[in-house]
Amino acid sequence: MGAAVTWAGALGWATRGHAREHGETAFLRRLVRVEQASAVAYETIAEADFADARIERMATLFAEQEREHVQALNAALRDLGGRPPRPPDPGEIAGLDELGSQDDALELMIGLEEDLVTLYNRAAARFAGDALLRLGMQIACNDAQHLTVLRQQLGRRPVPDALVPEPLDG
Amino acid sequence: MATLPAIAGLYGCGTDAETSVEDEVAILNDALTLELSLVAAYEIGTELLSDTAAEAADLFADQEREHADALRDAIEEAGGIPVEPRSRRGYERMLRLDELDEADDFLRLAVDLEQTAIGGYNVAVPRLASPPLRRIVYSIASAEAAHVTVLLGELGEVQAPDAFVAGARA
Repeated sequence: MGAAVTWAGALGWATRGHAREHGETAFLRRLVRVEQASAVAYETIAEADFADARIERMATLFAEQEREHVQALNAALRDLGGRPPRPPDPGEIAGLDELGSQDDALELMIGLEEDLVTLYNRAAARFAGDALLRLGMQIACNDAQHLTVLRQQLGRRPVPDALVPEPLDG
Repeated sequence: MATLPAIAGLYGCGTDAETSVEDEVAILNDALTLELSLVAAYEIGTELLSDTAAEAADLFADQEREHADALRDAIEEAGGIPVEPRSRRGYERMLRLDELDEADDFLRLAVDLEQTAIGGYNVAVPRLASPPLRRIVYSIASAEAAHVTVLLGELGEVQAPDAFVAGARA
């Protein structure tokens, strides 16, 4: 098996550097960072030698959708006076350059997508504007769809929970 | 498109005025009406299905019940009275379930119903004042989107076709 891949490591890149930011803008930047990390990760996986045709198609589509999420969230961020973060290089996403198989890749992406779904659930309590609340829900729903497909690819229960589990730190 | 009755509270609540507690209860009861319809649809429709599709329908019926329970709790907490479910015959007529002959017919109806629910939540979420309530509807909508993904897979279609999942209007 390839190196143990942890989504927490991948998220670490996304949260680094936002300590001094506050409120909705800061949270939005955090979301953008994780969406950016997901987009870069899917692009990398789509081009990997271990990716078969089905995984390549899936990763290519999901990369495009994550890029659309980034674009929309960045526009919302600018509207709030915030500055969009720069996208990560593949080497900055923990675990990405250690993937040895399709299963490793699917596990990494499940971790990132689970984190996104949890973050959007928190966003529901933080976002103030109507448009941003609706945008957040629409993106959360798409990320939940990604998660479902990824779980199916690994032969797991595709929708294990009726409701997004509450994050431990609220 | 699914023949759900016009859910005026969910789809007609896109105003800028602040939502009163009574309005919020009405919105939640409209959402509960949708969830109860989904429960009935899966309970009845599973009779047309087999194998993985039947397993999915049974799971989704359970999950829609959990959604309904969460909404009932929220309604009662707000001091409201949750709507009661219709009879089985009532749902068969309302959703025209007795006109379905084949598995694919039901799967397409289920997709329509789930998309209708997502559309309703997308419209309603900014009208819900309480952050915990917004998190509940984000969570429910994400689960409905995941259901759509599984159903589209059973139909042999692209499982996550859109980057922004806004659902459908009734």
